[in-house]
Order: sequence, then C-alpha cells, then structure tokens
Amino acid sequence: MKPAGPDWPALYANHRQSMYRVAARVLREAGLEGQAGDAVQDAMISLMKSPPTDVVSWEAVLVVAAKRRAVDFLRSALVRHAGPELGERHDYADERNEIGEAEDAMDRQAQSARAWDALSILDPRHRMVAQEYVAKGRPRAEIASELGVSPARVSQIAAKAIEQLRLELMREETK
Amino acid sequence: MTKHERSMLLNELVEALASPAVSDAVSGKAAVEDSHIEQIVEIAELLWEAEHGAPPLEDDPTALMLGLVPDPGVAIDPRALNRLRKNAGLTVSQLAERLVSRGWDVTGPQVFRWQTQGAFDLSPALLRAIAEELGSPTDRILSTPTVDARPKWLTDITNSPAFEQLVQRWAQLKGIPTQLATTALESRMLATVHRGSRPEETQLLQSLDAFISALENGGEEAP
Repeated sequence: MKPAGPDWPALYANHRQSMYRVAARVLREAGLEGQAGDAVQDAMISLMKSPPTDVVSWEAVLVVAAKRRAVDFLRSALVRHAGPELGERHDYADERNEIGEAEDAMDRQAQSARAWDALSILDPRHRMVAQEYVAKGRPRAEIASELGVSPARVSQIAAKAIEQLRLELMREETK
Repeated sequence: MTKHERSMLLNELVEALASPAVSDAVSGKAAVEDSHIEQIVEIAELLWEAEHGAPPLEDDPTALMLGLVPDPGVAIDPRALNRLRKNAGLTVSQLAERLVSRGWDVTGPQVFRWQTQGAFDLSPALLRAIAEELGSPTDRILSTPTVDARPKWLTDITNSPAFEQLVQRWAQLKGIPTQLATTALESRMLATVHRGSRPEETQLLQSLDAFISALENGGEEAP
C-alpha cells in the first residue's frame, strides 16, 4: 500500500518556494520569470518519471532540477532569439556538482529571506517603495503617483531604503 | 519587468544613492564606492528574489497536479480515522511521526483534532498519505459531504460520461482512487476558471483529455 519511492507531494510542498525562486532568478535574464512555474512543473514531472537514487538531500535535488530546467528554458529562448551561439555562462549547470549548486541556491534563499525580514526596520513609506518598486518591479511613475511625489523622489526613497537595509544586514553579520 | 527595465531601476538606485540628499542622510558619505554599489545592487536583487517565490497553492499548476490543493468537498471521516488507526496499531503520535517522516508538516494534536472534529482542509495528497500509513484505501477514510456546494457547471461536467472516462484514466495513470482522481481533475478545472474566463464545457474536457494524453504518452511538456 505504501509507495516505494518518495512522497512527491510532501517534498514539493516543502520546497516549492525554493524551486520557484531559483527558476525565476535564472529566467529573469531573458525577462522570462513568468515561466518559472512551467520550469518547476517540468522539473517535477521529470523527477517523478526517473526518481534519483541514493539521495542525500531532497531539497538539493529539487532545487537543482528546477534550476537546470530553467536553464534549459533560457537556452531555448536565447537560441530562438539570437541563434545557437550562447555564452559560456549558460553552460554552468552541467559543469558544477549538484551539491555545490544546491548549496549556492539555498544560501541565496537564506540571504534573500534575511533581506526581506530586514524590511521591518523601515518606516511604512520606505518599506512600501522597497517592496513595490524594487522587489515587485512596479513602474516608478505608478508608485510616484500613489505617493504624490516625483518619480525621481521614488528612486531616492528606494535608494535610502536599500541603504538602510544594507547597514542593518551588516550589523546583523557582525553580531 | 524586462532585463532592460531592471537595469534602469538599478541605475536609478545607484544615481539616487550618489546624490547628497540620500548619501549624506544615511551614511554621511558623499562618495559611493564600487563595493558599496555592489552591495546595494545585491540587496535589490535579493528583495526581487524574495518576492518571486511560489504563488498560492490554488494558483500553482504543480501543486494542483500533485493534489496539494484542499477540496472543501472532501473531508476526513473522524470515526473511520480513529478505527483504522487503532486497527493499524498506531497511536496518534505514531501516525503523526510517520507522516512527518514522509515530509508532511503534521503534529500529534492535529491528528487528534482530525479524529475528534474531522477536517475539510486536508489536501488529497495528504489524505492519500494518511491512508497509506494506515494500510487502507483512501476512500475508506473519507466522508461524503451532505451538501454539494460546487457550481452547477462543474457538477454538469463531472456527471458526464466523458469526465468519468477521464477520471478512470487519471486514476490509473497516477495509481490513486477514483475519488481522489475526481478531486484532482475538478481542482484543475476550477484553477483554469479561476485564472481566466470560463471556457465552454467541451473545451474544459478537451483540455483535460490533452493533459492526460500527454502524460500517458510519456510527454514532458507542461499542459
């Protein structure tokens, strides 16, 4: 009655955030971050069809699978756009070991979470600009209109917010 | 946001940071060094990544595919759970531990609540895991709701012979009970409708057929 392999839904529920983030980060290079969900789904289907054996860390397996599938998407998009010649930096997925890739990705997740948590030190106005303009990437003019300031002022607020975050993160590191 | 727009945003940030209005107020320095700029850009990137995680479960096609979206029309039967757990020789804590060992975020008090109050918020995938740990078919731990709260268009589709055939194929493909297969396909249709205007019933059935066929044929393309 019990499955011989891993409990895929449970694994996915635990690691889908990491999978989406790593895929979005790769795909952003071509403005394809909206396809992160497709890359993640393809990665899961591939893993379920051919489950890896002797797994040390399932998180590593899932994150690397999502990243590699995103790289595949990126390659396809770049080939369609510019022909078959791709830069060396797009070949890294096959060259580095899986654990190393996963550690990098998970370290990145942790840094990202710390940066997000640090938003709490900002006042509401600076936090709003950091979230809506820097993180979500909404148009500057739109946010300027909402706040009743000039677009240049939005950039100043964003820069000051990020500078405060930088100092806060540096403080945390030295603790 | 395209790559170009992102570059512009980062340039704007760096320019703004270099202006005395910002740098003096924050760091007391008028000049911005390269390493400083790198850190600023890095934090902007980290915030972007934090914002681009997974969507809510009901909008995540993979979560739908794996049965992670709870169906309010399917509930666990408290008495059946209690009986089957005892038959399996497991305590409440032991059942919770077994689920945790599979990767589920479950506690003993939660399992206790399921078997005293029932639960409508468990995903089909978790229900299946519970049943597997109890050595039971999933259908035996489910209770049937007394009121069908589903929209009429959905009940019309799910009552059709074509949908029934799709359910049988999905159940066979995934190795799951037909009730869970029904739930999974219903969730998929509801998500499709949730994301846009509702297609015709025939289109929904054709879309499901194409999706199942692709997986049956070993295709890896996302539906």
